Amino acid sequence: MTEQTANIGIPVISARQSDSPTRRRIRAVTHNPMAMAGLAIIIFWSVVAIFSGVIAPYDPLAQNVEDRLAAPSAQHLFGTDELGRDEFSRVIYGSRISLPVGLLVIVFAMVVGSLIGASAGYVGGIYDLLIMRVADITLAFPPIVLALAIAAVLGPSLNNALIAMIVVWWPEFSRLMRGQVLSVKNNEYVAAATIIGISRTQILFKHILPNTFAPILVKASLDAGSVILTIAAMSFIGLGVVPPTPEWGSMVSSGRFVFYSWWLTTFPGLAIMTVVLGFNFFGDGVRDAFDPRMLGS
Amino acid sequence: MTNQILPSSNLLRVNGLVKHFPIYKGFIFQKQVGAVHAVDNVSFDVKRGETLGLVGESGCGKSTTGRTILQFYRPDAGHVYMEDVDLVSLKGEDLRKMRRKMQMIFQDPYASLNPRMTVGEIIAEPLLAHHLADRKEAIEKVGSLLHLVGLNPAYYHRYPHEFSGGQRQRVGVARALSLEPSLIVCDEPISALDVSIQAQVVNLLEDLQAQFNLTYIFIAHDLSMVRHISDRVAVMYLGVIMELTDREELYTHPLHPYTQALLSAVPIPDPKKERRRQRIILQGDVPSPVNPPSGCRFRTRCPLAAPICAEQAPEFREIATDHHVACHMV
Repeated sequence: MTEQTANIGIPVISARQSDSPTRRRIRAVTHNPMAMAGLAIIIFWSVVAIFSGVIAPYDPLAQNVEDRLAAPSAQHLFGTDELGRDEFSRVIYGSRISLPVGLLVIVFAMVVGSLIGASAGYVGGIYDLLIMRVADITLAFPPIVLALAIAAVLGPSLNNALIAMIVVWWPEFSRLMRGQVLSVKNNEYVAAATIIGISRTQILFKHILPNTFAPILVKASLDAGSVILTIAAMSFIGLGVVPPTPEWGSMVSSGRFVFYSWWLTTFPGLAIMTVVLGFNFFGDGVRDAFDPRMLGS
Repeated sequence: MTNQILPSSNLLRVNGLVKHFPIYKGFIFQKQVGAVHAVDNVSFDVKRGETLGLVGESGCGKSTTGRTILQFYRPDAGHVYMEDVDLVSLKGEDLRKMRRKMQMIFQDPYASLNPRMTVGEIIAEPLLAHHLADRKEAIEKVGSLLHLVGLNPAYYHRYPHEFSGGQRQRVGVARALSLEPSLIVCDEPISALDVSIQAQVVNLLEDLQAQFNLTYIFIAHDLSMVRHISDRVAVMYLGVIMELTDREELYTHPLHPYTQALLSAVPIPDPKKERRRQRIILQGDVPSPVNPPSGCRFRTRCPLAAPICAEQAPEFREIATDHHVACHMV
């Protein structure tokens, strides 16, 4: 609608899309060097994961027993492991597990958890009470212990580890989302929507949920690092990714048996560290952007 | 009573309206330990095209009355007849359809607009929700509504935070008007605004009333503003209407001791008269609405209180023509 005439004869000029809060927040993230550094790390590892086949010099599964436990050299940048596999290639391919797994768990836990939490907060009553007690019970366990127990019952495989992680993670999002909905639904503009005659479902999706996402997104970006770390820990114990698939956690785990080959634990460990730091830096930046004190600047 | 034919001059008829907010104790096995008696047995009529002022101290139930009339809070007892339809008996979709006829302007223009919607979307939403316009028509209608309330139609794409309080309140007025309601409950629409802006918004409300034959229930605690805008005024105290009559009658011949005390607090803009102004200072605080006094609610602070006031709640009687008072002593 660029040049339209309203029925009173006043031209409706300019469709200037003004500076919405969302835009200001995006700018706050892009102007934050730490957040941008975090984003750069995430993008770097995503590129590595996508182009693993091109970057890795060797097949990550190819064994070369003659060259086993070789120290880092020009031929094997990160050395080789106890089966003579190229550690550099394995770290590169490992990103194909850790990044998608982290994102998958976070997205599923966020969507499922938020929907459950939002409905509990909006509907209230007995339904809310039951849902929240289930969430409390889940939250009462240390996440890694519960995830291990579930994965152990289901059997060791990547899929089961994912299911276990989602089961462990949803209550965190539910609790947060429920609190958000409880506070937002008491706003005057929700009352206004009721009085206007907007239906209950529409109020939830149009007036309540869009105003609850900020802390959920912050939590998601902050938690992505922890999820990757937990998956690594589960693989380290042997309940996540099964060998011979290269995964950073299990690589650190197998490296600790050969004490003098420091490169076997150091490089996958550094990979985990950088990814987790990347997500945390970015998450911090997102959180700052949603800080109300940042607005208005 | 339900089938009583109403005189056509009455747009709204409120009969014995009661709203209590329960107080619960306990965690899983909740039990009700009391209730806030926010509105207790309130009855009044509102004539088509008039402005009924509703005044009283903070927490006396003015806003709750307004919101209960609009069925935002469902009443615990009583009836609200809007154009002969009992709103209390309506539910779900029937009630939603009736909401077209009655709208509200909110006190806080900062809290009553969804920060994530543009001004245009906010004003168009009621039209779309009631299928009164398609998207294109709605945009045009919003343009004329913005113009009507004194805003530039080009503001369609702006967000509420880009506006001042007075402008936001105009957006709230445009939203209420978009459904072309017959009744608008104005819930302290000016008390959050600067004094310089208050008059503008009040004048806007008056112009719109004249133009569209609107009926207002004007909730406020600013007595001089209520005197300016209202045709009739109801005085509330602790969930009960104490006095209801014409504006001039109320301000010149207040009968209820509470009304007298309330009006004696209004300053007079004339230093000589102001010096001679007799003020009635009430003792003590407003009692808790959880446990209101027996009989007359005002008796604990009333200068005229007699034994009967504690035993029996005074009837809301018509003392003179169109002058209703709830007091044993009048």
